[in-house]
Amino acid sequence: MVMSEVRKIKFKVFRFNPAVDALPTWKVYEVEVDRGMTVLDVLLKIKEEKDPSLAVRYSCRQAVCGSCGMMINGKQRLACFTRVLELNSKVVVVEPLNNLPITRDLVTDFSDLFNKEKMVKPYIIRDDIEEMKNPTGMYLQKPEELLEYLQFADCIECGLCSSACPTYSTDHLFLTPMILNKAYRFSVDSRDKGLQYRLPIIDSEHGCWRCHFAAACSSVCPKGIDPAKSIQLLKKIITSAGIFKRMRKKEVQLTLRPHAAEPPT
Amino acid sequence: MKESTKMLLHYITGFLILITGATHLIANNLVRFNWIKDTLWYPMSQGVFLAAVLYHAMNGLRVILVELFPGSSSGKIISIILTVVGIIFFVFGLYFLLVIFGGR
Amino acid sequence: MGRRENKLGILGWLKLKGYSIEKLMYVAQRISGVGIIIFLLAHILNVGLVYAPTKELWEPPGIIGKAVLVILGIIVVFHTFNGVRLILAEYGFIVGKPRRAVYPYKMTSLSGRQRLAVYLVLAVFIIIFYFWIMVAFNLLGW
Repeated sequence: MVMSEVRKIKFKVFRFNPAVDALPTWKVYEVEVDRGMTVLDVLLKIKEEKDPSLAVRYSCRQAVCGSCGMMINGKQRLACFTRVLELNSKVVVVEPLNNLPITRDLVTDFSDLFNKEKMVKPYIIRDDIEEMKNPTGMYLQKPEELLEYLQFADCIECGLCSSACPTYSTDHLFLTPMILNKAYRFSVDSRDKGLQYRLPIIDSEHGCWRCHFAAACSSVCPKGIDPAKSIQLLKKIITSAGIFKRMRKKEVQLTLRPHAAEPPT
Repeated sequence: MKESTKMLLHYITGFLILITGATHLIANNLVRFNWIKDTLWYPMSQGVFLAAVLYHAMNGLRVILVELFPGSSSGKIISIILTVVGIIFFVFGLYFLLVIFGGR
Repeated sequence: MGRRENKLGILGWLKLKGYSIEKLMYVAQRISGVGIIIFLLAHILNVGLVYAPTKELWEPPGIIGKAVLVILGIIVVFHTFNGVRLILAEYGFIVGKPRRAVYPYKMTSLSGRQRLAVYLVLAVFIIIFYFWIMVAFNLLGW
């Protein structure tokens, strides 16, 4: 039989409504925490039982949607992916993500990050327009071509890496790890031919060269993406593409569909 | 100049400093290796050292300042100021290299 | 407005708690770099204005001049070795290859060859630091 372990833990929660308050305040809630309860569970319990005015953004509760990123005991974590008792502390401090504008309480505004994401064209760009309009086949990728970007495609856009990035804490124009990871994921895809269109943004003054490998992004990533790695690999490919005009990349071959040439009857 | 070119130069000058800077330190600080200063190669390597170390320093400073003061025009202003400072120090240093080693 | 923006500013560079050792190396690389730049510019002026006419380098009087040289020696060694590691990392030589993200996640940029390079830098740094302290005791006359 599994012993249930209930402990009383103090939650110090950041409260701030920019429309009303001049300065943020801290509120302390004492909550009975069961084994296996996550920080998000506790916040929802506070919302239900103690203080309905607490603002939290969440959706899936299983580390898939990336909505509930926040500072828990001074480190960027997903609230739904952090068990309270595993933190091993009697007081748990909960704050909104650093370096992102606060909407209210624990909710932060991601519009800056999403605008930057649009700038790096996070989609596959191809030059064979005729084939795109009237497809005659399919682009089948080999497993090793898939492996080139699969790790970086797992990103859930929770923004923890961008919040942890030391450059982003002073340089609000920096593209941030989340976006650079996205740019690398599409640039290295064997179907993509759009690196030259992304270069003016990635290779700019506030592009990927403002990363100095502090690796704070990788140490907070909850999905094993390793953004520090993808940014360094991005530097490698833009150096070879931008300076030496050379792209060492396998290109996917068009596999013709059977009977594609026959007109429909 | 593109950012990737600037940073590639930053790393290349880093390696140049590793070689020429070691020469500089060994020749000046170890009595046993003072003879290096009498070779013809030494003043030339010091000229390279001066240029490389100033580029490396000014670019490093630019990186820090650009991150501290981001903005649409601040990057250009920082670059221009640091380029001027770098050139002044390079001309100054080169002049005194010639004064010191010019006798040969 | 400032509180709403929630930017850490320069404190974000210095925040080490919760992050890996690479963050410490990043901060140290920056601080040592600025220190070396200050010395470099002062040294060029020193050689140009004092050494060229008199053949004698000017030094700050007393213990300060020696202490500056001792600290400079330590940070130059650190900056050099960490710089080589950073070049290797930033051109993707030691950060590892892309792999499937399988739980429990292991970041190849925070382990393996890259982390080995970090420990190597620290080991070289500590060894040279030790010898340098010996030299420093002689220089400072203790």
